[in-house]
Amino acid sequence: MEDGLIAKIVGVLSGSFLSLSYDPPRSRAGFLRRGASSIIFGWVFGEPTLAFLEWKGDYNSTVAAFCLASMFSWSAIGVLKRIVEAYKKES
Amino acid sequence: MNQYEVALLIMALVTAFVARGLPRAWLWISVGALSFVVSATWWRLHLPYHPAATLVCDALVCLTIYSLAREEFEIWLFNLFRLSVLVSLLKLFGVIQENLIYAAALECVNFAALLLLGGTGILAGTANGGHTFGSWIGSFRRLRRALRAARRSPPWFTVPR
Repeated sequence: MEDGLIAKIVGVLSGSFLSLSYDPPRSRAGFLRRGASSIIFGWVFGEPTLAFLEWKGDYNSTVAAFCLASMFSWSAIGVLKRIVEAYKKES
Repeated sequence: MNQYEVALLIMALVTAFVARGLPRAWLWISVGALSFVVSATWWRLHLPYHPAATLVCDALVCLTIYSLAREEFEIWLFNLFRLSVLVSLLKLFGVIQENLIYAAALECVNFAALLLLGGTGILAGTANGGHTFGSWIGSFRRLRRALRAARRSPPWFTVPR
């Protein structure tokens, strides 16, 4: 496997793990929803995060950027879920 | 051992003594001590990615506390270790650049965790009636009730939806 691929996998998985311990979900369904989205969106938005932060594309920066993207996706899905729930209650 | 580690060790021993009537406090002191020893050994051996190792240790402690917590004081402890995770994350991402500030912040969190466990132990002891501390501590009933109340939200892996 190429080095960059390992860095991306390590980054995304570490982001999901840190999010799980820092901001635990409320249920098993929430865990599946948030876990899947953090892995998928962490993978998708890792490169844009790296470019946005203007970090060099070395191993450490790639891990950090993918980890950050994954953590942000985890939190964003949680916030989105709360917004949808609040909207449903109101309507 | 440097002076901070000695101070932390003494405080951990004092906390273990005052919280002798609270077995779960002993459990968390042991878990915290294990995490601290692993992290400090990593630092001493000059192994790479020290903040990352500390981060993983604290995250594992967080997960353990979250999974096994039964009372509210354990949730407060979980929140303190979350703070520790945040400090390590800030260090890893370069927001905290000074090693001294990083170490001081982690020490503060550790001391706060020990204070929480010690305080809960003292309050638990006064509730049982056989504690050596003054009776004025017994007047903190609301705080004791808040700390010793059953955990409000169950862990996520026990809730299907």
